[in-house]
Amino acid sequence: MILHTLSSLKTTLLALAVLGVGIAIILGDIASSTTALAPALSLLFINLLVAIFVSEKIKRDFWLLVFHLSLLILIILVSASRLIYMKGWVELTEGQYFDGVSGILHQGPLYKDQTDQFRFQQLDFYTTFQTEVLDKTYSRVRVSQEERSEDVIIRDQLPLVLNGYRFSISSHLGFAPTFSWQTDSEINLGEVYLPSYLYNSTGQALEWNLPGTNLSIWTMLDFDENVVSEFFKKPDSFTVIVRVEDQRYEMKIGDTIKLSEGRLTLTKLKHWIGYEVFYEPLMAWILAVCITAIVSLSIFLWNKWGRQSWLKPGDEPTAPLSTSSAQAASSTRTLVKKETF
Amino acid sequence: MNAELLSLWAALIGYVVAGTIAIFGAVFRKSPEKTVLLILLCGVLLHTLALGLRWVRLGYGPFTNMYEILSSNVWSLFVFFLLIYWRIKAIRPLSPFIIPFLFMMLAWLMMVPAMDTSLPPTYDTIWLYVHIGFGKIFFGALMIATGLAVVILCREFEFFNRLTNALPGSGSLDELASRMILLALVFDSLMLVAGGIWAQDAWGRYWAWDPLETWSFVTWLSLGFLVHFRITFPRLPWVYATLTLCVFVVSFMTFFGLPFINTIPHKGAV
Ligand code: HEM
Repeated sequence: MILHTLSSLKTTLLALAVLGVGIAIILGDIASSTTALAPALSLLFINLLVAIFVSEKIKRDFWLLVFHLSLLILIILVSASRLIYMKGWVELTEGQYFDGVSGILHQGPLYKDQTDQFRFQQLDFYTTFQTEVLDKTYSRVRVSQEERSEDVIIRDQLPLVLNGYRFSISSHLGFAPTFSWQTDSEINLGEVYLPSYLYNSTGQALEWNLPGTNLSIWTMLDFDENVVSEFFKKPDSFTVIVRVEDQRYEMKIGDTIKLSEGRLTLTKLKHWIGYEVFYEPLMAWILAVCITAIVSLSIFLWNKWGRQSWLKPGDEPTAPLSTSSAQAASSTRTLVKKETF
Repeated sequence: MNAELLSLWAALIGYVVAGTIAIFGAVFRKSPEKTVLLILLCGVLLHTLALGLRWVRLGYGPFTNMYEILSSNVWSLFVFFLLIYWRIKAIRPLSPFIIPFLFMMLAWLMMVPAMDTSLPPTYDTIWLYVHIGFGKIFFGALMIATGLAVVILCREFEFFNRLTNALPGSGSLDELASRMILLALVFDSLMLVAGGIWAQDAWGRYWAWDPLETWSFVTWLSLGFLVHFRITFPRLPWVYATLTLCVFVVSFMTFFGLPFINTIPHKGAV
């Protein structure tokens, strides 16, 4: 009795309806997609599992069985993938080595960081613009693996894939004024990643802390020229405005300001480029199972429709036309053979 | 007027003439089927020419703005209708139940300004064609299933007898509609998978529950529900027909409503 209920097609309808509620929850932004879908997917999983063992209809047809098995495996794979995936981002300046992601947007509870197992260096990048809208991006990186290094181009549709981590162009580009900070005991070099230029062209400012001090520094890049007309270029003439407490400084490359704790020098203006980072080791399997499901369903339908015409014998129109379509409809025999749709 | 616009207008006139003859034929029990087929074919060829000329002029296909997407969908829906009209003779009298919808799409197309745009960088991929191609078959099959569902529902009212009696019995129509729905399910699944592959390379993730992705999943799910509803309750064809109409509305909103109400999140439909 319980098995019958669990495997019943009515339970399937219920599970699909619950899945619909889960999606409404996602649309309403009430809970995360994982939480919203878990109850429905669990119900669907149990329903499918029991049905595959119990239902004669599913077992009788090999391709229908393969199709429903694929759905079952798909639920397992998607759930497993939610446990171990990671989605984050990284911003790199020209010449910088990748050293872990800049931030993580989502991650599964079992995600283990493995970004220390590979290494690459950001070289230059090139972008094209059409009427000030980003068109194409090409970014060159140097990948070092086992004593060998190789230059690779990352493009809009062509991510860099290293150890299952995928780095795709994110359409975020910006400027990074580079400073050196010299105290009595040490010199530190640091880059200030100003906000993404394409989305914040009027807000090129950031507040940050000088290492080893309580000093908060407000930095703004000021220039008066179009840097996105053909490609993303550095301004020919610019000033970096720095505010420390109540003091305001205007800096050019090479300028130094003296503070009570040390000396701050503007050394360079660099570009940075942003990447989406995505780690989903089960992706290829998910794709393979999706394709298996679709192919097996298609074969099942092909066989089933080939066995019987949609037009049932004796189902011709009650008020036939005086025309060829009426002849076609009434001569069911020919149709049964020809039109298997 | 340039050749591109001229061929588009000629195509639209062809569609309207063919559609009107088909409807009159069904209403007055006449047999203009060869004429309809021929004019429809001319319409489709002229429309193909208009789309092709625009493609050559701009250097990319009709994928970006409302005008382009409507034009390419009107084209594919007419192609689908033409194929069905040609191959499945018994349902030619279905025309009055489908043509009015196609005319609505035509009217919409004529009201949208024919602007040129530029192609986003993420559109430079073969998956664009695969994704859109599967989508066109999905929507075409759903349109035919919906037309059949409307006939089944209209049979409840005597008023429509003149039109509905020219078609095979409801049992057969229900079976054909369910096959069209299953075909739509297969191609919707293919469309989602192709979209996922494209999104993975373009934006670094295959699925992110943005509004368009979420609604396309709702569409897929409602098709799955429909398929199982029919297996579970085979004796309720009119409920099945009503649900088919609902699925059509959801798909229509996903296809033509959402990308234009909510352009920002799904970058695929800027
Ligand atoms: C979203 C998930 C599902 C989808 C998309 C799906 C899809 C399908 C399709 C397309 C068919 C063929 C229908 C036909 O021949 O007309 C089918 C048949 C069937 N499905 Fe599912 N299915 C799903 C989940 C389930 C579950 C969870 C069960 C568990 C009870 C189930 C049980 C069956 C059975 C018993 C049949 C055979 C019915 C028959 O031939 O009479 N399905 N399914």
